[in-house]
Amino acid sequence: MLEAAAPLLELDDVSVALNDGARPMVSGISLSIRPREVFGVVGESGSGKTLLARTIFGLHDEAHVAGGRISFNGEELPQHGRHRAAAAKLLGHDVGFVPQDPFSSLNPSMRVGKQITEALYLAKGMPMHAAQTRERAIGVLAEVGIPEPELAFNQFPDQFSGGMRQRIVFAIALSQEPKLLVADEPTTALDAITQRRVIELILERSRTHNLAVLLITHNLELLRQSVDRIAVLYGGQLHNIVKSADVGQRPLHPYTEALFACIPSKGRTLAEIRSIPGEPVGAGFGTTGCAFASRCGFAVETCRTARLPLNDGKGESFSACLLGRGAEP
Amino acid sequence: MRRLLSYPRSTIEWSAVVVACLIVLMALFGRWFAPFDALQIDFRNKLKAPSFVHLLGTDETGRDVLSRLLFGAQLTLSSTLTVLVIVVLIGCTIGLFSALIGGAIDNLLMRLADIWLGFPPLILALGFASALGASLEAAILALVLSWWPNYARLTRMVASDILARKFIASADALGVPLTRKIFAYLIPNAFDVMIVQVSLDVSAVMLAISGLSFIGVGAQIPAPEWGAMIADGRSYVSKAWWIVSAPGLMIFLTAVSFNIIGDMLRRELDPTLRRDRREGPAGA
Repeated sequence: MLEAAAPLLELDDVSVALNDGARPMVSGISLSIRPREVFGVVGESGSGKTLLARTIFGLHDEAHVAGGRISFNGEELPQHGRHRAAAAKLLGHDVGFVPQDPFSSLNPSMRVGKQITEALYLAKGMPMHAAQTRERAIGVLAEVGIPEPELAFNQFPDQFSGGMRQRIVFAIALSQEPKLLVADEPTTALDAITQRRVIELILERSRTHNLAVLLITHNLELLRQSVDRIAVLYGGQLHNIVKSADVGQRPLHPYTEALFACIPSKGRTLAEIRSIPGEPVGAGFGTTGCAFASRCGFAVETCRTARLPLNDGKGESFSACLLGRGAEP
Repeated sequence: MRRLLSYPRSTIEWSAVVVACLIVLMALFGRWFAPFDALQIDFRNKLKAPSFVHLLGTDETGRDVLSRLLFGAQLTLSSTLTVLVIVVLIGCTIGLFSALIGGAIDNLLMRLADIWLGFPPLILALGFASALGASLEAAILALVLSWWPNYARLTRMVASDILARKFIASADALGVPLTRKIFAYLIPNAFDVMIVQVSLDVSAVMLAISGLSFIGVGAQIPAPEWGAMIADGRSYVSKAWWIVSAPGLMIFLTAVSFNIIGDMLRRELDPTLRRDRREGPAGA
């Protein structure tokens, strides 16, 4: 079923560079997200996952798309100077963006209801003060599980807890009925139980409203249980795309294996939880040589010198391991 | 409104609020309660001590001091308000522009503001007085020209602080256009800081206007501006103390009460203090 659908978001050899640096920070990223698919992006801090997501939608002031092609819903976005303006047009209509921190991502001096009616106005041209728009906004608040939505409509963001604020952030993004929701570590600031509730909210919405989700996080366990496929970034390189059902079932890219070995879980003693030896390399490794080679137990000389393979985007999964580890059997 | 009433926390703050309200009322309606015309000369009654006819006495040309005080309240406060309104408009526009555009132009504007701040308002006003002729308008112009950099710098600082916050990025993600971002996101969130600065500046600007009038480059005799009244009556201070002490007391009371209110607003509205109060247990 998933295979048949044309991709909603397609990245082909995309690289992202900072405006004041010549070297691309993230490079050689090829992946495609299908309609209604929940797609996870995972990586250590500094792996470039947030940079990538923000830049391809023109939300990063200090970075730009340095190469490659980006298509959304079958239409290719213009490149170079005109990319940002084109991406900005997608935002608020076809693409919703949920930022990391619910405590600072709501306008503190605007009532919650008005922030939603504003979003409705911007996305659909619904008049901001009409009773119908108000009804709709209250409906959206109720859908994301805000108790007493009529009351909440007239409250200010600081009157809500972190989990509730994150729901409001989602309500604002979802009210615009995007085709793709980009959630940039939406749960990092929340406690474990609230995290799960927020994720469940996204998944349910994805099922009921034909919503594709790009979920960026470093919470592996949560990701494995909630998404269809996971892309693994390291050092600004795409190393692995795996079906989350495959995790723990078949050998994966050595870095992915190492990442999932770090998850503490029930029945695993502290000694069994392995950290990855060595220090993580930052983004900006380029495409020559595997960024993980310095920490990889399997690394051989070619790993440091060969050009990293590029995802052809045809298969469900992909492994960039130069030794062929983690490739689909 | 109920929130406003919870701001004053001590007798001093309450009295400052009451005094400030009285002074504003006096400026608005005082002239209709004045027993005499503020400019009417009556040499038979010059330098009269306070009595039931002239409650605050008369000056050296027999003008009623109380009437002049009531008329002067309007003159002094309206020129203060004029200065502040113009200064806030100019300063905020430049500051917002500077913060939004950034880069070299931002730098240029802010260095200009820094250089401009180097001119003391007194020197500027003296320059204007000699160029335009000493008048209240010249004093107002001089103050506007020397005060705007304060607001430009403050607004620029506050605005770039707000622009760096996450909800601005969220607004970008929703597709909020620039004008709406300025009026619905920047200005409401900068309002607290600005209102504190304005209330503190009321007394500073008023003192400056009265000071300029006192040294003779502001309001001219016989205009009942408080600073000019003091300048006018100072040669008679040994014979007729009431001529200088009445406007002096008014200047003092206005300056002190608005300063106390400014400090109170700063305490209540300061973003860092407010965060402590707000980040407490917040239920949905």
